[in-house]
Formats: sequence, C-alpha cells, structure tokens
Amino acid sequence: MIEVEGLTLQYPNGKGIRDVSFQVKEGQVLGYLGPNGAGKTTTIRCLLGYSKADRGSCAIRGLDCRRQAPAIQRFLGYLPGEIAFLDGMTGRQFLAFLSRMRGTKGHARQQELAEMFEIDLSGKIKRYSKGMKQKVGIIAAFMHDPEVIILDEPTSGLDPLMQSRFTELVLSEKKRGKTILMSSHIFEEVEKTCDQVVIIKEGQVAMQGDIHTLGQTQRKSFLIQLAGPLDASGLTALGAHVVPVGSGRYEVSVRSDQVGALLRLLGRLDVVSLESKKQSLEDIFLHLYGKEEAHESDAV
Amino acid sequence: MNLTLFKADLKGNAILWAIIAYVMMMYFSVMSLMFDPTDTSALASMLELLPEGLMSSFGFNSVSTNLTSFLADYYYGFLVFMFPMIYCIVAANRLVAKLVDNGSFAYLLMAPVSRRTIIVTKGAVLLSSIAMLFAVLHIGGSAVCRMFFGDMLNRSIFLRLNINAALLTMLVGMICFFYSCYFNDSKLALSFSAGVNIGFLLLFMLGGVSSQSEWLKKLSIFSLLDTQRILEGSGTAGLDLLLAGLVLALFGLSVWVFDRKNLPI
Repeated sequence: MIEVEGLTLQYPNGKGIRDVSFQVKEGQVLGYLGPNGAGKTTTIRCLLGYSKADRGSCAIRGLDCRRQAPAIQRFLGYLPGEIAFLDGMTGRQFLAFLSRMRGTKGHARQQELAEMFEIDLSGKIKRYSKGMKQKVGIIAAFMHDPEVIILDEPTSGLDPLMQSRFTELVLSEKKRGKTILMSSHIFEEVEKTCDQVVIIKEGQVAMQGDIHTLGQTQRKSFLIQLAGPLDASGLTALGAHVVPVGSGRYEVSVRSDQVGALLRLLGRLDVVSLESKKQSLEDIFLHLYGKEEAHESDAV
Repeated sequence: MNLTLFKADLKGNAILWAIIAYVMMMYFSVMSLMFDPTDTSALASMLELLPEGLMSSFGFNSVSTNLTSFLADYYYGFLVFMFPMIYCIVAANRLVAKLVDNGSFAYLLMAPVSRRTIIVTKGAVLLSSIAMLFAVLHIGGSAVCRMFFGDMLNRSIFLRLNINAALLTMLVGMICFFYSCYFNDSKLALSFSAGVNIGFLLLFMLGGVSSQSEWLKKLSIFSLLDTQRILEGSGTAGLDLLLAGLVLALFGLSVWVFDRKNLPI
C-alpha cells in the first residue's frame, strides 16, 4: 500500500534521510520510530508530496507521491506534526471548510469523533489549548473515512485518557482494514497498535521488523527505592543490570520474561517505591546492541 | 481555481480590505474637498509655506484649476500608491508565506486539488481584491465628486486613471505575491516585499525633488502611472498592456516557483 524505496533527501545543513526503504502492506499499522530530528517528518513530507526526494521513490497504492499527490489525497488522511490551523475559524467551521475542499460529507463521522474525544468545536481554534488543537487535527485526519492514514506524532499534547481513546480509534480503524503509518519517538506509544516498526536514526533506517520480536528482545527497566541496603546477589542471578542512582534508589533492568521473577524477589525486600521506566529509543538501541551504540546503524 | 478556497480567502482578508478601502476613500474625499473651483490661491499660499522639494517629491507641483487634473496631481501622484501597497504587502504574505511558515498550508493540500490550483486561486484572490479596491474608489470617488462639484469630474479620464492605478497596484501585489511564494519564512517574504516596493516608492519620490534627479523616477515602477498622458487624453493602452503583461508574467513565475519548491510543512 505504501512503498518507500531508497528514499534520499539531504538538506543543506547535512540533515535529512539517506536510502530509506520500507513497506506498509494493506491493513497494517506501521510505527515509524525515531528520536527527534531523525528524519521522520522528512520522510512524511515526501509521502505527502510536499518535498521532492533527491533519489529514490515513494508511492501510495501505486501512485507517485509527488506527481500524483492530488489523486492520493482522495483516499488519504493526514495529521501534520505541527499544529497550526487557518486563522479566525471555529473548530466546526474549519472542519466544514476542509470537507468542502475535499468535496466530502463527513458530518456524522465528525460528530462521532468529536464526542469520542470530548471536544466542543464551537470556539475559535486560536483559543484552543494544544491538546484541543491536536484533537481537531485527529478529527480532520479521520472524518472522511480514508483508506490510508498518515499520522505524525499523533498523541503529542493529549492527556493519558485521550491517548488511550486515540489507541482505541487506531485499533478500530485497523479492524476496518485501514492502512496506517504513525510516527513517534516513544516505543510504548506504538506498541499497542502497530504490527510493524521501522526505527530511523540520523536519517537512516536503524532496524525494522515485527513489533513482537522487538518487544521480546527488549528489556524492562524499573526505578526502585529501598529503605534498607540492597542485596545484589539475587538480582545478578536474574541477569539484571543494577545501577545505583543515589539515596537508596536503583535502576534495575531485566529481560521482559524475567519481570515476574524480579517482582517476587523485590517482595522480600523493603521496597519504598517502584516505578516502571519508559524506554526511550536510545535505551532500546543500548539494550539491543550493548554499549556499541555508535556502530548500531552499521550493524543493520 | 478552487471556489471554496477563493471564498474563504476573500472572507479571511475582508477586514483588512475594508480598512484599506475606507482609508483610501477618506483620503480621496478630503483631497477632493480641498479643491476650490473659484479660488485656488488659498491652497497655493499654503503650499508656498512648505519647502518646495518636499512638496514636489509628493507630486504636489502646481495648483490646478480643474477638478480632474487636481485629483490626478494630488491623489494619483502619491497617495494612491501608499495604502494599496500596505494591503498588498500584508495580504500577499497572509495568503501564502504565513501559512507555509506555520504549517497550516498542509490543510489546503489535504484536498484532492493540485498545488498549482491552490496557488492560482490565492493569486486570483489578491488580484480580484485589488480590483475591488479600485472599483470602490471609482464608484465612491465619482459619487463624492458629483455630490460636491456636480459634473466637474471628467469621468472617462477618471476611469482611465483608476484602471492605470489598479494595474500598477496589481504589479505591486504580484511582487509581494512572488516573494510570498518564494520564501518559506514569512518574515523574509514580508521584508523583501516591503523593501522592494518601498524602495521603488522612495526612488519615485526622490525623482520628484528636482529636475536633476528626475531620472530616478524612471527607475521606479510607480512612473508607470502616467497621469500626464491620461490628462492630455493621449492613449495609454500600451502602458496598461505592459502592466498587465508584467502582472501575468510575475503571476506565472510565482506559480512556477511554488509548484516546484519543497514545502517545509
């Protein structure tokens, strides 16, 4: 459905993407992961036809993203990473304007989505909070029931409740056979919804594959605080990494199949607090490739 | 052309447009009321109090005894450029560069409409709103003159002045539009469109100061409003055609540039 082949676009400042290739098959959800500035938005700009690649090609449903952009827009939904709307309109006026531009009638779906995200569309968009603007963008991307949906950091600005509503929305669209590409810089964000992941770093694909295989190799990290001293011997037996971070606090990471064993072990200790640590992409790189982070892109 | 976008953009610019139209009409009315068909000496003596170079740089040279040439000298010498220029700079920037800069242009491209269609629509909004400014000036101006001076205004000359001025303003507008399409940074687009047009205006004013500096006027696009020829009744079709040609050429260039560039949205 979405095919990216050897896509290369270098900016004068040296940033950009190099030789990026991946595919999203019909009905799949792909998580496009990368730290900030890795080239996620650059890739999306090529997919939307905003930018012309130096080399390589990208196509959606066989249509060239640059030359046939208007034809692609007939079945595409897009949420830009930057939230800015046209001035002086209310949320409802803006969405109505967009529907007229598209020549679609998405009113029922629009209303449904507005209720799902609990947003009142009658105020001026200019006065909306960041999260509300993001909701308007999400409604704009889904309201015309597109077949292919591209989302650039879709949950930024949403509170946890709305983030889970969004996850539900993506899952239900997936059930209806939609093809979705969503970018993010947090692994957990795409974990629940995506089948495939492509991780991009410094403009190049660092790894790609099935999300469950990636999830299994991944380690889980916890931040624990103990009242007493830590007896590290039990932990090392589990194959856990323990890093003291001061004042009785330790960062402990284990393979994901050892989480249960770790919790049983901690039950015998005098634990004051326990929190799970969100994994950054850097952590994932670290865990997958050890300390040789610098070479990881060569390793793939 | 996309009609939905055309209407939305006209509406989005309506307040700015109305303010400019109001100021243009107000100045026109004040100017025309300063004309006294029986006695021009009062105005002449007032002008004598001011430095000659300053007044002539604004195109105020002689006090005419004829309403039409009075207006041609005073209103169409300088004021007619200034306010529409402000409109052009602000509106052209709002139509394209501002939306590209803040990223909201992406929403316009979400329709199954080509980039070219969108930018042609944007240019058409600018040109037609300029045409409407001068339509208001022409109709309103005629009414003001009829009210105070009866039939003294030569209507065909007045019409030709307005057409010439409208085309010149469209050229100013297209210069702004080009920069708005060329730059992704709204501030750069603003600086260049304001800088180039104000530069032309300064050249035009400096050229009016004395006969030695008159050649400077020729370098300015504002010398393409030839009030003298229109007043003499000689043909200005060639001049109008030249202006229209320049407007279309710049419009085409803007569309071409915008269609080709990479959008950072």
